[in-house]
Amino acid sequence: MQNKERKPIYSILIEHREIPLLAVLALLLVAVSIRVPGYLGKSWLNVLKNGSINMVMCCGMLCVLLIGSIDISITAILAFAGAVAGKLMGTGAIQSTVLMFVLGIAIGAAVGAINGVLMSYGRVISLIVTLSTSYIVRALIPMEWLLGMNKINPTQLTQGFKDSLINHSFLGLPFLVWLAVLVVVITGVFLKYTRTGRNLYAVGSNAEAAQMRGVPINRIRVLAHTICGATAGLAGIMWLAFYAAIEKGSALGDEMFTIAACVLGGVAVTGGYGKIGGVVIGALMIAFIDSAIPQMGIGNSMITEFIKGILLLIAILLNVVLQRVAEKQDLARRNI
Amino acid sequence: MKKVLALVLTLMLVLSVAAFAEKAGEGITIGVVYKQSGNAYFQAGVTGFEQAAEELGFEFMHDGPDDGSSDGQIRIIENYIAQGVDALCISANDPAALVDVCNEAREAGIKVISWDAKVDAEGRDLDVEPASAQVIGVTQLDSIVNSIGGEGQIAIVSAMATAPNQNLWISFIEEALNSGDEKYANIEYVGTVYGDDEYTKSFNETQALLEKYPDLKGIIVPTTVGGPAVCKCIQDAGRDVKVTGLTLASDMKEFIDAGIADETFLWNPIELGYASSYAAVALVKGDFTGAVGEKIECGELGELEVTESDDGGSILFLNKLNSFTKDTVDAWVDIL
Repeated sequence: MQNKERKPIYSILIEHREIPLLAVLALLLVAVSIRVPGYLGKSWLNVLKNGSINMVMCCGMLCVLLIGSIDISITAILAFAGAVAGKLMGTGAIQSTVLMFVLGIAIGAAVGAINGVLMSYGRVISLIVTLSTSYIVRALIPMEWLLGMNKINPTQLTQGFKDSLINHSFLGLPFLVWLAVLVVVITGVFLKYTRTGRNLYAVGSNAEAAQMRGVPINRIRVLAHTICGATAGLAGIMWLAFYAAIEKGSALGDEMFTIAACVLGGVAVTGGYGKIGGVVIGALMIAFIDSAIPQMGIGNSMITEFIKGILLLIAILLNVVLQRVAEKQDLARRNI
Repeated sequence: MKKVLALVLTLMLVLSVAAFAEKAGEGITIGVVYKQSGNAYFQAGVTGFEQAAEELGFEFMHDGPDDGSSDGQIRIIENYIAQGVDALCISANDPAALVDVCNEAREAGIKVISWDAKVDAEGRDLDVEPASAQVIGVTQLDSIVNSIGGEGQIAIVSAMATAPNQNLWISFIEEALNSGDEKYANIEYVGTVYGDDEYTKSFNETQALLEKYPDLKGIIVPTTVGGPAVCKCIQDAGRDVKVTGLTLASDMKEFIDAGIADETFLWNPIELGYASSYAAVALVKGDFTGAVGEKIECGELGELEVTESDDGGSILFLNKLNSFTKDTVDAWVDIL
């Protein structure tokens, strides 16, 4: 037993759930590349761009899932924050691009905080809380006394704002992508290296134990939801800058893809487990599926939803199977 | 004596001419009902009624429910019946729901015309609609053929794969392309993709089209939601692809000004109101019954012919689409 320290490959796989996922992603990529030659060369930038908004929301969703909660109001917050900021820019009240982002994050954080307070101090199931707030904030968008808004058009936005994320790039990547990278890095550092970040895991894996240890669990829960709301608000401004349009129904239903990306990335919906690396790969996989399906065959659009569902299922099953195999091998190796 | 006689005769002639010049709609009252109050589209429709009222001399009242409901419309119609209007012009929120109240009106001797959105055949005398499916399809095709200079690849980005209107228009486009007409000889139609009337889906499908067909020259978007998404995608990709379709002026102003779309279309609600007025007056006066094959003179719009509708009733098509170009789009942004 000279190499006692060396870990077998299975346990590495278990510790790093994102590795099997990466294998699944590579497999799908190969499959698509066979069907659509030169796919990756043409589309990699589009995958990154289209996936950025979801990626940002995934970071927030990760925080919420870690404490064993969930937030399905994120796309409603996206539409609301984007609509409010867009309306203000349309009326000329805001001209500064930076202010737009600050406002979007602030609106999102406010709604997220409300979610968090209701969920933690109010003790209402987060699914119901966020379902309610999602209806409410979406319904606020066309209200006469608030925004009275039908739709934000590109003409209502300043050129500087419309150019901000798409037409500025650094190292070949547009700011839109860099913004997502920035949010990922901040979230990663926060979760791994700060006490508060570690407390999210503590609250999610065993709230009572965390409380015994003196973790302010309700404050942590509110914080997680506030972060999630803030990323959704930011996503709203990113959406507005990318697509130059937003309306009441924008991104309706897309919150499920955010959750799917997190689950693909190995985040436990029961709380307490999840890594930013896995989430990044999960979000990339969703973006990749979204981009690849239309290219697989024109005229087949009627069954794209079907293919999307199947691909998601295959991805998650493969991930689970690989995980199981690795775990079994690990147990077998330890003669259990 | 002869002089007196001549004078009297001349006077009679003048008087008779004056009497003849009395406006056709004098003494007629029309009740106009639209889908929802405060909607700019229907305000434009009312403008059409105003224009016709000036020419024909009829009176009209107009109203629509706040909530866009059928029962709200029924209350308005009952109110008009009680006031003893001569004709009703209705843009129905539900084709079947208004049949009973419309028949009640017809029993009271009131002529019932539906415009913009039909009342079912058994409840109306005539339906006035913008254009036949063939005109809508072929107008868009001819426009894109013009835009791209008569040769190159074109594609269609539609709404849902199951959308009946869009599919009908597309079938007429395909029929025209296959007709062997000289002007389409150098056009290669690569197919239709479906954006499901979702902004991001339309955007992603367009991205895939652009990547799959590097020589693509034009895209037809026969749906208002898809239009801006397709244009934004082309703008970001920096490709020289022209767009046309059925769009709102406010959505497209940016892209028409940027030269991505030379010309897009939508029907003109003003003309719909105008033609409905002429039809209503003629029906009330009894010199027109609204039967299939009958012709009617509609002022500036010229002579229009009644044809048979899909539902077996009679329908009057204006067969004219309103086009938005660099020169005209500004006048429409606040209306459509």
